[in-house]
Amino acid sequence: MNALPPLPRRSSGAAKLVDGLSSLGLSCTLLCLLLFITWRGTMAQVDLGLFEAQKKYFDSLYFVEMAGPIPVLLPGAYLVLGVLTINLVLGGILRLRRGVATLGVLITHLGIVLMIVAGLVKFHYSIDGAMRLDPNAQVSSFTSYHDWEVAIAKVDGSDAQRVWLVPGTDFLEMSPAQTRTFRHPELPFAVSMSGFARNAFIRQHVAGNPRGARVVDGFFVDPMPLELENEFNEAGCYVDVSQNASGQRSEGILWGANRAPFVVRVDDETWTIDLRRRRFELPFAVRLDRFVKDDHPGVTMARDFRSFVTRTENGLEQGVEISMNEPMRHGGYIFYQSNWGPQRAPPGTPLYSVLTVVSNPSDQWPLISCLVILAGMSLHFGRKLWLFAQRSGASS
Amino acid sequence: MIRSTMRALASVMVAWTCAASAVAQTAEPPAVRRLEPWAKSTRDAAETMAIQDQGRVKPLSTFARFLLLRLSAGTSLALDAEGKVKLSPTEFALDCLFFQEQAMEYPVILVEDYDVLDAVGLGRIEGKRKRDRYSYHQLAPCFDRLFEQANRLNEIETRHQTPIQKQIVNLARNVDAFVAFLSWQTFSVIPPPQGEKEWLSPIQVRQREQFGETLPAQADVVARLMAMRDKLGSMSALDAAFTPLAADLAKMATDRGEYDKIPLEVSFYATNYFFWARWLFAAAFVFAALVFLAPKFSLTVWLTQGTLAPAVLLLCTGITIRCILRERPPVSTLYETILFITAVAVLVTLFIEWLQPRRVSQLIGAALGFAGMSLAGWYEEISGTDTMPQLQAVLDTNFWLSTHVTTVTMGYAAGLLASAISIAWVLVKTVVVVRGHFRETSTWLPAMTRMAYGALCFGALFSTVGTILGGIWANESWGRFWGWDPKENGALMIVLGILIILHARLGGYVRERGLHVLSILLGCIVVFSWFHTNQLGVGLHAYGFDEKLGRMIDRTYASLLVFAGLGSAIGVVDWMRERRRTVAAATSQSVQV
Repeated sequence: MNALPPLPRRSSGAAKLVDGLSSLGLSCTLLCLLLFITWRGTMAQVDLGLFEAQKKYFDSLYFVEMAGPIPVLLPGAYLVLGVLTINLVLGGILRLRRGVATLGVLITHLGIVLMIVAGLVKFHYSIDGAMRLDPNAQVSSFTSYHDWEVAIAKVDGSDAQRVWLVPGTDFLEMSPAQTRTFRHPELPFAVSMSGFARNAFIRQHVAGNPRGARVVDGFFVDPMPLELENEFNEAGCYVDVSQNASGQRSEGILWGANRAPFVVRVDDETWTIDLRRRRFELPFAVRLDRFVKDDHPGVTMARDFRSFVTRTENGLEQGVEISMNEPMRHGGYIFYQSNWGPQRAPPGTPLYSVLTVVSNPSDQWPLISCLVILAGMSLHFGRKLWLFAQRSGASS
Repeated sequence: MIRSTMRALASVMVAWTCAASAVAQTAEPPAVRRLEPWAKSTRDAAETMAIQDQGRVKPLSTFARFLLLRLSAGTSLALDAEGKVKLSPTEFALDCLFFQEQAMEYPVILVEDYDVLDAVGLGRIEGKRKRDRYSYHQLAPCFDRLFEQANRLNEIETRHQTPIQKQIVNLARNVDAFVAFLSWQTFSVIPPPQGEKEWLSPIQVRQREQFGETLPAQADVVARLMAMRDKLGSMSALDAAFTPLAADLAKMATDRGEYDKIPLEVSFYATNYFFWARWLFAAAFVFAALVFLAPKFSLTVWLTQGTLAPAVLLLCTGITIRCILRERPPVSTLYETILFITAVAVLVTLFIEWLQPRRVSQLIGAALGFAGMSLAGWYEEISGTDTMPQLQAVLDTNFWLSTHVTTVTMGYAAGLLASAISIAWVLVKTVVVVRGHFRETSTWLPAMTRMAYGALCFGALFSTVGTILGGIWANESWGRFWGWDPKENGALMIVLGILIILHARLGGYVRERGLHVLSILLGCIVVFSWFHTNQLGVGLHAYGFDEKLGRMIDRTYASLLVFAGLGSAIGVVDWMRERRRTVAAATSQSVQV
């Protein structure tokens, strides 16, 4: 067996910690944990859906798993990957015995570290969302798949409307029983949100509806079970607007599926409050000139679909074609052809195109890491195979 | 579905006048029976007739093969209990098209469990087994309830349906498909006018003519098909009408550039590459095993190589022809992964055999070849659909199919190969432990460990690179490198599994036996990634839950766990025996002293 040489005995605590963090025993333990977490997170998707399973098992520092009636605290993939990176850097790169025999291993470990760092950068600094393009419509923003926000704006007829935003992180974890109030020095009123549900349906109140439900203008917020696919959840809540000067209150309902925002009059001014998916503005606009969808003959499976768009930036126009596997990259954003609609529309219906828009600083790092790992592993295993073949030849 | 089926049922009754509703001919279907076999020239012409189905143009023989497979789980139709009178798929298709009444009497529709018939109110038919085939006429009395129940059950998610409920839905779909073909609804053999891509059935031609379109070439085909009804009494007369019509249809398809691969596909299925490869692998396995029992008998060595080589050749040729037919790299569907993984695993064993000629590797290769080919045949049977389907738009990229898919599949092959070698090691080791000695094991066991280690290294390279390439493809297609999709996670688990084994070996945490036990467990991870993730019903690779596949997966897990358990147990026995021996030796030494 090619076991690593034993580490020299160290006396200080810091040295022992470094020894422990760089040990192969820790590598094996972390890999086993990662294997278990990946398996659990995969199986959990059946009941929780991808979004919730990802949050619980993969994006977390820890999670609690029930072993029968006993709760067991386990590290999440985020924590395990973090420690694994330290282990890799210390044990697999810095303390690795240098030589021709380990050159491939060193390169491979460098590639893996680069890939984990790429994942970390993507996790913390990337944004993504969807852009719906109707025929000939020009759009310069896209909306997040998962993040929400409350947008407060004054209706003054100007194009450059100023918007005050309440980020989703301030209310997404609220329970229906909680109330949270938001104020801003520039706003002449305070906004209170209550009865929040990440997935809700707004129903008309009739006899037999849940007793005690708050009713606003004959409607109430009905919390629904979360959809397995988070994109289909439509958040909803009650909103109370309390004017700073007079203390006058107005109440309403905010719902993600509403096409129009809640409108309120304050001191002869009209304000809108909108619960919506987080919106990102682009430094340029995109217009859909033509959308082409081609089905396989006789079946309803799309063979190809692509958007012909015009990108407008600083008055300059450029035509671009976006299709599956052929995204448009521009200004730090990448536009992918992801969908179209309306689905199952009869022939001749004008179709809209849906693009996924991503901004990811580590976009191409995985490709570089893949090439590095390929080179490292090919070198290491190729050398081993060569030596083995030589030994076999010699012995025969 | 019920509406379409009822419409189809109605059209069966006027199949010959389908047609007919448009041209207002006779109302009664002719109930002529076929008394002679089909003329060879008719069969040949029908076999190479092109039909458009599921978005692609294929031979009628291929269409009929998969229809028969779907309906009856077989590629030929036995008309008697002994199986002496059989129809080929093409003959079955011809009977469906021209002798519907007769075809409705064929025992062609498989019912997996007669509880299904109880559930739809038909009850059990005397002389039929629990799993048996029924004719259309035998099942007809239950159609109302069958389709009513199937429509209701379709509202329930597949994973929440009971096995009987799934079978009811499946039976209704199969009856629907049978009726659609009997009534010529899916008989799309008429190439459309230039500029269109959807082929036409005779009914569609008549309908379009009714709406005032002029389709002279297509209408001529329909008229000639209709005229054949007068020739059903004589096979030679029918042949004289059918063969030239088939030739004209082939010419129409050729003019559109859609006929060039039809003859190759006909010959591909007629040659049955994978069937013969399977039995040659089986023979190779027997001969390779005999090599061990009679090592001095050199004929078995020659026989092993003489059967293994053509088996590999047939498998590789079959895969190559599929690539030519599809204009794709070797792997683009789950079925093709089975073929490719088998080929890669066997080729690697042969490479190992070449490096280390100890006859063990070729034995494992032959066993894997037979197992892989059997799995491919079984999978084709249970899925019952064309194994060369059209691909989703995102898969329409030969670059990524040939890089990511091929690479990651080679990683699967390496994982399975390592697992198979380790199972062999456990079996040999068990014999050694039980018998105390087995010939040549002193060299076999370390050789097998080296083989398993080599396969793991091979797997580490291809699984890691393949998995990352998958992420890069996803990044190019959807803008996310890693989405924690079950299939992605499965591939990652294989990488992690291999890395655990390699690092545990490097750190000295496992030795020979530990490596093999872990390697067998790696087989469980490969099965999870390969098939189980598709069964979960979530993610981008969800194909829906299949009861039979689910059972196969569970049995494979159980078998692998048994082998892993056996590997661990023999380690304990071995250790205890060794310890007893050491104690005995020490005792005898002290006695001598």
